[in-house]
Amino acid sequence: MTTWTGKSRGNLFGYQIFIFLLKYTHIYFAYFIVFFVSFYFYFFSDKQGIRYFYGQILKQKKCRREKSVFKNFFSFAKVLIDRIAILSGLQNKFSFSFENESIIRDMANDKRGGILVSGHIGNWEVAGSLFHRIETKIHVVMFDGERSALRDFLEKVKGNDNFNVIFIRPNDISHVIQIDNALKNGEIITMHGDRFMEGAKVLTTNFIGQNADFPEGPFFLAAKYGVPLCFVSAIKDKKLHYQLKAEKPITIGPLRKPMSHPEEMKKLLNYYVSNLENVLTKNPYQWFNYYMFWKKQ
Amino acid sequence: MNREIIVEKINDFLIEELEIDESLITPEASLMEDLEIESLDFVDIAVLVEEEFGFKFVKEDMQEVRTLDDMYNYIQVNVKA
Repeated sequence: MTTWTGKSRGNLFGYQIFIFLLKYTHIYFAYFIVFFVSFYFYFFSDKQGIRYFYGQILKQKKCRREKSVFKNFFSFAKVLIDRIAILSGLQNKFSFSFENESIIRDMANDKRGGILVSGHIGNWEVAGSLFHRIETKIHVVMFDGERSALRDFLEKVKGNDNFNVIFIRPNDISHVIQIDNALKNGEIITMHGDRFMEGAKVLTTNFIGQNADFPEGPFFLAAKYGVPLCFVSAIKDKKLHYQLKAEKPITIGPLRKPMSHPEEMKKLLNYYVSNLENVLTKNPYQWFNYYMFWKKQ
Repeated sequence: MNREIIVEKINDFLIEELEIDESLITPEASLMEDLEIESLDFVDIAVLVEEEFGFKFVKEDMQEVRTLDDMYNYIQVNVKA
């Protein structure tokens, strides 16, 4: 199986062009431009993973599958534009609704710590602009290789005392120490549960009909510290509207050796996977994991 | 705290809790490459250090801790007597 390389697409020059367009034109003009950019990616990028998703997982026939691949690329391009717009301070161009925001507020008020787990679906990163509403320290765990508008955005807002970025770097365990300290201080961390670096420990389960690997990290940490694990998502549901949602959290542990309790780990994984499946099957064009996610059959 | 006690506690933990082969445990052994300690295992090491030696790891310092000997030294410097 091909795993994620640790690098996300996009470069600073590209982002700067779009920041210029967003400042001096309407956001729909930027969408119009990326419509054509999406064609470039459709023709010249590696589509094996995303084709497998539409063709083998969602059982679409070839013609529909190819249309879906293009729609996916165009959706991703628009999501990136939205991130850049928010980075540029244009968040008032968007509207947000946050279903069950009280769940995260309650987690913050309990001061027991907690893990918000999302996936590469939709645009959870836009929630960054809403974090100031939750009065607790929030740590965003991300791979250092993710050279993206998101990273620039996160660097920019790092000055906020309630907001911290924890970077995962190869051969460096300092992120574990930061996560340990954060959870022991009763703070919230947010991380994705559907991407991992080659060699990382994984849990395998059925995901929309076929087996796929998920990183052990979020589930191990939730069980080890006995903190609530809460699935969150942010779906672009209208042209400039995001629907954020937090699901009822699950708490297991604390367990001294989480991996010695496979049934408990399975509960945490099933909680995540069933929520991710639910969001993904309703929003199949907002799945932005482009590597070969499923184990080929 | 005596260095020998630190070495003994850390080595016992590696053998018993992380099930690392005793023959691999040498001061020069790289934590991640030779002993194959994964990042999540450091959660347990952090807990051990806090409980047994009375201090918390500092992330900036951990970037310098590559080998088992580095770990012994780091604990020896920071341990509360």
